[in-house]
Amino acid sequence: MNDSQIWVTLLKRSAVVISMFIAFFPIYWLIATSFKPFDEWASWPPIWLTDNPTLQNYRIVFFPEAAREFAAAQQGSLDYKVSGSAWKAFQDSAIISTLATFFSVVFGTLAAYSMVRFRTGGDNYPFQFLTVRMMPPIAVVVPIVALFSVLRLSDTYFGLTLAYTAFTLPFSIWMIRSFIEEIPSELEGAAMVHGMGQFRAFLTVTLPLIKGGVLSTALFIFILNWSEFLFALVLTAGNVITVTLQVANYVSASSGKLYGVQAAMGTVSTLPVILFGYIIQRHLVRGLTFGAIKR
Amino acid sequence: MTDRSRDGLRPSLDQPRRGFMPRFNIALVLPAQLTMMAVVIVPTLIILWLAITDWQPTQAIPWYDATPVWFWNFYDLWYDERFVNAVGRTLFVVGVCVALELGLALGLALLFLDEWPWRRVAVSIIILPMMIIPVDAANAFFMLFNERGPINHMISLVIGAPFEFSWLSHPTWAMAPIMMAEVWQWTPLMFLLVLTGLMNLPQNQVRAAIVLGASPVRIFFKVMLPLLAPVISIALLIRSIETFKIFDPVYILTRGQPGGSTETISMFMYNGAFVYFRMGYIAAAALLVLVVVISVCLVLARPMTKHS
Amino acid sequence: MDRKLELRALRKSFGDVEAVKGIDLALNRGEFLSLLGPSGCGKSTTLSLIAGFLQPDAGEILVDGKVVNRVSPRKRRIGLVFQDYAVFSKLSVRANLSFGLEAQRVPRLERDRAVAEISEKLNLNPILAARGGELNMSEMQRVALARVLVTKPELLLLDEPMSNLDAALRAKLRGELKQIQKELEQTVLYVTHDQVEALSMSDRIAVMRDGEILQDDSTEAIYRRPAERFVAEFIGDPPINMVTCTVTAEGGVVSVSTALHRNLPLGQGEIAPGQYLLAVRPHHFQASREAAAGTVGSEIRLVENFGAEHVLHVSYGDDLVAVVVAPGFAREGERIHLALHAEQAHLFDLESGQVIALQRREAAA
Repeated sequence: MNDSQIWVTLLKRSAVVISMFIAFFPIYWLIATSFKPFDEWASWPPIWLTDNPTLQNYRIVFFPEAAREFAAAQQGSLDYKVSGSAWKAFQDSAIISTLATFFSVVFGTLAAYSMVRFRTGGDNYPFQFLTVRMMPPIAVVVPIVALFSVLRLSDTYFGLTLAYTAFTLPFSIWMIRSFIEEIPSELEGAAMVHGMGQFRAFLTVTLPLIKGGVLSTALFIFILNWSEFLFALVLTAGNVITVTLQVANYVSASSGKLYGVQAAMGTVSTLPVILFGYIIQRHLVRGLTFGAIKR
Repeated sequence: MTDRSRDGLRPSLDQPRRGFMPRFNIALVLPAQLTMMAVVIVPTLIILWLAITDWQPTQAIPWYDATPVWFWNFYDLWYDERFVNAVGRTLFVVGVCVALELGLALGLALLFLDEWPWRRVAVSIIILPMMIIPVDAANAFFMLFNERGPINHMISLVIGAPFEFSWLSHPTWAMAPIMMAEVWQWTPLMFLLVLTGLMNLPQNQVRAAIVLGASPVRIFFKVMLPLLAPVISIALLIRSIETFKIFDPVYILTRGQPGGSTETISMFMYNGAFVYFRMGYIAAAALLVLVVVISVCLVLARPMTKHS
Repeated sequence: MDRKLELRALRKSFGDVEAVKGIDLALNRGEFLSLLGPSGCGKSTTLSLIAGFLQPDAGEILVDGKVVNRVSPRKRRIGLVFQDYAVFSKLSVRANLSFGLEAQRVPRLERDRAVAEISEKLNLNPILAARGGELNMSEMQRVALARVLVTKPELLLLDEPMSNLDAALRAKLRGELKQIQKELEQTVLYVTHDQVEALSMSDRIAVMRDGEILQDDSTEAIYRRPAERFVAEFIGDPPINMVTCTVTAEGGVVSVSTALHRNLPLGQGEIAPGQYLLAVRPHHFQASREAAAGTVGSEIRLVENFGAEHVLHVSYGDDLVAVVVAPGFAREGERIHLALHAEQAHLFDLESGQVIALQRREAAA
């Protein structure tokens, strides 16, 4: 390598380092703030790395006593939404996300199998599901609220699970469809020659082969459900609460001065999805492009 | 053509079960289809009704008994500056954010073409933003852009004077943190897509261009970009659709404030329906948006099937 | 001699694997040299080193007597045809052809003339408007070749350019390629694993194995006087026969005895008596119906029909040897009589595989 090439390489690597810094900085700030004591939350100049790390913010998030204690000590008022424990939010999010993921993947697999192997509904049928992902959810939220109020589904686990299932179906159908398409139907044909029914051939031959893909799809959809905000916001009224709602509640409580607490909640709520995200990193591109771009 | 040959084996195997099969394959799509009906298709029909009423939940009459106002909602929308502005603002956000994301992603991806020791680690860190919950990303930006946050601090350090600008309450500048949060979070996705495309590029075409003496710029524009076009168009399509729906960062950062100056379509509709409770009016707006979005998407969605 | 390309002690490793182990090679102006070897022998690595896609660990690459190790592939003025042709799939054939000239900022008129000329020569006129991605394999091959030739490269590297074509087309193109090369007096380094291509087109062949060049010689010499057992076995169709033999040397005359033939005089030389390998091309056995002096009877186990000639697989001790005969000469299970043209046979060391040098009688036979 000659000198100019070395300079170019150096420049390129520096650009990478700067990009890494920009990508990481907001997350760093979130984590760093979550360990700051109350008086450093909004000090000027801001504290970049606290000398007095504390777990107090996490205690406020998870233990109502700590929250009440904090409210009393700081003469602030924590409204009722954030004075409770965030455990409830984690629990509700876990229940709803898991259920909705399960239904979405099972329904999606069945539908995808039918579309690939029987061409059910013709070539345009899968697009019907895709259009769901294209419309802004806010546009259907108003009638869903109206419908759910009649059906008494507002603010229930079932209602939110139903909404999440429907809005992740396009992903599960299109992703799993792309996995099934990679498995030649001749394999199932071979099993059928031995007297197996077509659906059993799918279950015993193809499904094990796309197991990894289906699992990735499930994790991907779990991430979407866990991260969902808009439906949780409009379809609940206090009985059901998700982690994203809890984050928003901290941000809006006391007009956004609960930095440490909201950072603590932000940090713990996003950890599971970061973990899942890296587990399925290989399939992220496929998921987010509905199987159009594969690795 | 390939589809046909792939399925070549099937018809003969189907023969004995022909009477049973057609129903079976429909039964398989039923759970998915019914879920969609319940949450998408029925509500869409309800919109058609609500859009011609002035229903407000506060009126204490059920929505199905609401008074029709026929097309006045649409008339009002047309002259509602806040709605028109929200539409314009949303298109602006889509245009700017998606263009920025693509530009940054292309530039970034070009840095990752060659193999070097900590390349994988660097990719993992750069895609971190897209892994986190959008509400949390907005939460982080809420703190970053606080008047006493690190962004103002950094600006102070650079200009050498105290800088305590209140980004989120300034009518003109409040949109900037929202858009930055959006670009920050989704450039990594665009980057991954473009990088995947670049890595799957036929390497020998690039090498052939090199030995023919072409400059890197010429190679990029004449050889690589045309090969990347399908991937880029899919990436643009998907990101435009997603950005058009932008809601979470707006809600967390400004809720459309100050004075509606950061209202996007989604935020406008949320405020209208759940702050001012004008459900009928918002249903009309929703109907408009649905019609436009679906017809645009039906046209644009075709490239997705062609590629792969 | 006018040295176009020279490799000096060129080395390249990938981790623990030594792909190229210090090879020397020289290519003269206007020469057609084939780098021949089985897959994984390091010939593609060598090509990448010459083109500049890889940097050598040690050694020098000289083009026109100048070291180009540090010159970027863009500036080496080397034409390269890839195995997969690498035709720009999104560009038209015309744009493909003018790509190199545009990159070199050749004026438009001159460029158009050169493109017209080359497309005429390679018969590309009917497909000039087609896009690269729409071509079939043989069209791609022609476009790839034309795209490089139009830039008049000092040196043309061809990386297995026929391996994607079917057999009949290959035979036809071998002749065409050789003709174009002669006409343009183009210096060519041709990388292949196909000995037929190497033999039919090259002026010179360098046989490569495990990162080393085993023999670098004229095409004739590679075939007639292999220096290594590997070279003898790799070249020639049907493959050369290898039979173990016992050598006796009396008064400088070397004679061999095989499982069937006794005391065949090979030539003159100083050689330790013992076990060696005798290599005999299938054409150098003479089969006859009648017993004669020097013939040995044996049974035909198998007959392979190649149309113009038949190959007999004949028992030879515990082995079978291949013998080329005219069609219809004999059938399976029949006995024939074999004579061995010892003066055309080669003797290899059992251990090292090196050829044993012998002074031959005048090769009148």
